[in-house]
Amino acid sequence: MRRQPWRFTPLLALIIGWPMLATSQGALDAQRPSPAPVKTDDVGSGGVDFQAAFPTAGITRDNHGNIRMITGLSHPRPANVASAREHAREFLVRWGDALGTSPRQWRYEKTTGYGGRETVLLSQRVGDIPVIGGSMKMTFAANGALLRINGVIHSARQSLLRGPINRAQAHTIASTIATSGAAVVSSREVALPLGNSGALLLAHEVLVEPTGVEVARSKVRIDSRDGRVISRTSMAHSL
Amino acid sequence: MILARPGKHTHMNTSRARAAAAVMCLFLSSLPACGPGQDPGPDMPAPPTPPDMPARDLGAADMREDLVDDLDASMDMLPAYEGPLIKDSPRGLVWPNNPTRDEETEQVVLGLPTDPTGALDAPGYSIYLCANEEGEELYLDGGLIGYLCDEVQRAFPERGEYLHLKPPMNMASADDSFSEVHTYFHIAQIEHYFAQTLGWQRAPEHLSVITNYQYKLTPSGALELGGRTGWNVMDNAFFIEAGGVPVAGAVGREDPALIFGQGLRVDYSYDTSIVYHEYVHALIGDAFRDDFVDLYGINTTPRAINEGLADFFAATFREDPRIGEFALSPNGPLAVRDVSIKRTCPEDMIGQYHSDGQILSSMLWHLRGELGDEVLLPLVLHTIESADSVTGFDTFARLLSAEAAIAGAETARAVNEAIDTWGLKGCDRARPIGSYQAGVDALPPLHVPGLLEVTDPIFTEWTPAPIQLVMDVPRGKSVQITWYQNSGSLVSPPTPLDLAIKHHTPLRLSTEGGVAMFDEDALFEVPIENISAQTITLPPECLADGDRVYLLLRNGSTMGAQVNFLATYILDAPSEGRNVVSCSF
Repeated sequence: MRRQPWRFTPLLALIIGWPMLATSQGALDAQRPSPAPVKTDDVGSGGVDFQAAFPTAGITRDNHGNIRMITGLSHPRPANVASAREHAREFLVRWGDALGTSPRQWRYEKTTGYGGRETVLLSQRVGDIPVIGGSMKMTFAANGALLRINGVIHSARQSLLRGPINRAQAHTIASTIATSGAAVVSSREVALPLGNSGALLLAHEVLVEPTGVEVARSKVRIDSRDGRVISRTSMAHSL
Repeated sequence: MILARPGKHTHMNTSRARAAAAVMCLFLSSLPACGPGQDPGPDMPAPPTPPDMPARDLGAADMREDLVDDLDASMDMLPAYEGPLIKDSPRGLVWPNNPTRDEETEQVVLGLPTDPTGALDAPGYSIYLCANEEGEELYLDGGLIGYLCDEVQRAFPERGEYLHLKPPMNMASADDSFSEVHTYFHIAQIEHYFAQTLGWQRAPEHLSVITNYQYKLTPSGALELGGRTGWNVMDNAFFIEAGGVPVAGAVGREDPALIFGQGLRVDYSYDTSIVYHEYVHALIGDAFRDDFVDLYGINTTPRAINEGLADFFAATFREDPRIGEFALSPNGPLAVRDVSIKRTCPEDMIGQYHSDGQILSSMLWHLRGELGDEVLLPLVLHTIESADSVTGFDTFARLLSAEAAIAGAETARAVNEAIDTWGLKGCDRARPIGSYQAGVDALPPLHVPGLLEVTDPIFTEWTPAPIQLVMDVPRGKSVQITWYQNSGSLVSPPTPLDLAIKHHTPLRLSTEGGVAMFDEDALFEVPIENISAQTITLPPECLADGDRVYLLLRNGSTMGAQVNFLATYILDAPSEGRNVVSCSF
């Protein structure tokens, strides 16, 4: 069943009008009006043919079928949307499902402007875990219309591949990168795209500095499945 | 591992990042690129420093006594100065272009510094001199191996102006506050161009600009790193993004910085095209920053775009297509780039950012002539605004095409025609094999990244070269292929590269299941001979008789490989070749 590309529903109005939307730097989904997560299908475009809804749009996909870029959108700014940031949010809520993603996965980063236009940068997350390389730029015309989207949108339906290596084990592995040992400064979990497979891998990103001397830190990424050091950026590497 | 810790005279606490980045640039002649964002690698691959050449004691050929005017003498005779510490429009001396082009420095009006004492601080940036004084200490596995220089502000007004600061007698001298004034002026010029002329504002992060960058090594450090004991020059310039962690291993710094080396022969900040080039990297910010995996392997074109844009805007602002006319050599891997020379994809692709960037810059330079700056530059800037960190040639072309369509039919026609002609859209990165020799025709080595250089987790056993090679095979002939790697040491030969081949179509990468796999028809392990050479002979049964064959080098080492030379030889009989292999498909 196809839905109309732009139908203003009470629930959508509620979401768009949520006051925190325009003020918080937090994740987009942290600002939902209901304690229960709103399913994309409830408000969005599940089953909608995006191309039919936006006949002038040019869609470029990567070799896995994910949307990489949409040009020629000309999606007007709704009357009750005050900013490019809100418009970005509204568009994702309405069309995220058709794009293979969910607004829950996107965190607002910044808005920039040039020549009367505005560009909103969003970064992708899986839960609280940042997706390395996952980002979306939405460009808005001077009249507020959404012109295009450019970004790498990793599928919302892919589960994160997790392995048995936990944070403490990752710290141990990372601290062995220097012959004299290294101390862990900080660490976080990140989601790494597995090439063009569409899958995401949980990795531990550990910042370490060698023991006994002043800081020269290395960033080490460790595969949560088997403890393999995926990459490291350090002086030892460069030399 | 090199470690840095604060020394005595650093102007901020983040200088260990500078340590790491600078030393990485100094020693990594093999590094492919400068980098915006996460790679503060050298903007131009640096040649090794001759071990016996003192940085501050060069010959008469480098002396520029002709540059010294008689201002000092005349000022001695002036009456006592009773004016303000800094005049409202202080003057200084700068090279309008560079010491090669300009016969002498030119007197210009500088922007009023924000620092009340006259140190060269502007609202958006501050200028520092890398003085030959020991700054942060450098460590290798716990042992002291050297020091970074101390970053200081030494340019202050006399009689309310900066006219007393002139180029040093010795071009290689680090005692050079003229470079502070010169760079202060030119950063203001390019900043004004973007902000006022083009209306494009850089992100408001304060930029540190450091001139005359050098470093000092202890005897053990010189032994370990191959430099000389004492102060070592840096033949390079680069941009480091705030918080960026370079791909090649340097530590991120808290503030973005432009760093200009004091080279063996020249001061890199004296070349205004390089000052502007690095500044554009700072402007571009988080776009065009990362390699990504696509159908043909590792796509390095986002960073090529970053370099191409930096060259293009520097050339456009100067109305001169040459980049590095003064600081870079006329040929070799550290070569002058000329954006007016047409380079296309895939013919000129080599997988090195600066070199590949010329494909974009030469297309945009061509479009300048077609459309004019007033039409073209807004299209380019809007495209940059919409670009993300992995926007490569194909996506850039589509974005630019979309912008051109908005601008009008005639603009769209010109842009789309150029995109087709230059091959930006849908380029398979398969370069005609021919013969390849680094250092000739401005070619850097072919870089095949090591496992630890590639952040994508799908590569666990090997990494592919960023480009493929394609050849048309004469019917019934054999082909011998020979390549040489850049050998780091006689006692430690490089890891051999494997060769994969496919008939008719480019090798395509699959990552199903999270494992990288190419669809090659055959894969060959090729032995290392004579320290760094690899040779293989493919008989007719291995080749697509009379058709095209695509080849791909693979690296199983953690470290990157540099192929300096590659050649193909057509043989009448396989017995004429070396290391003949057999195939059964």
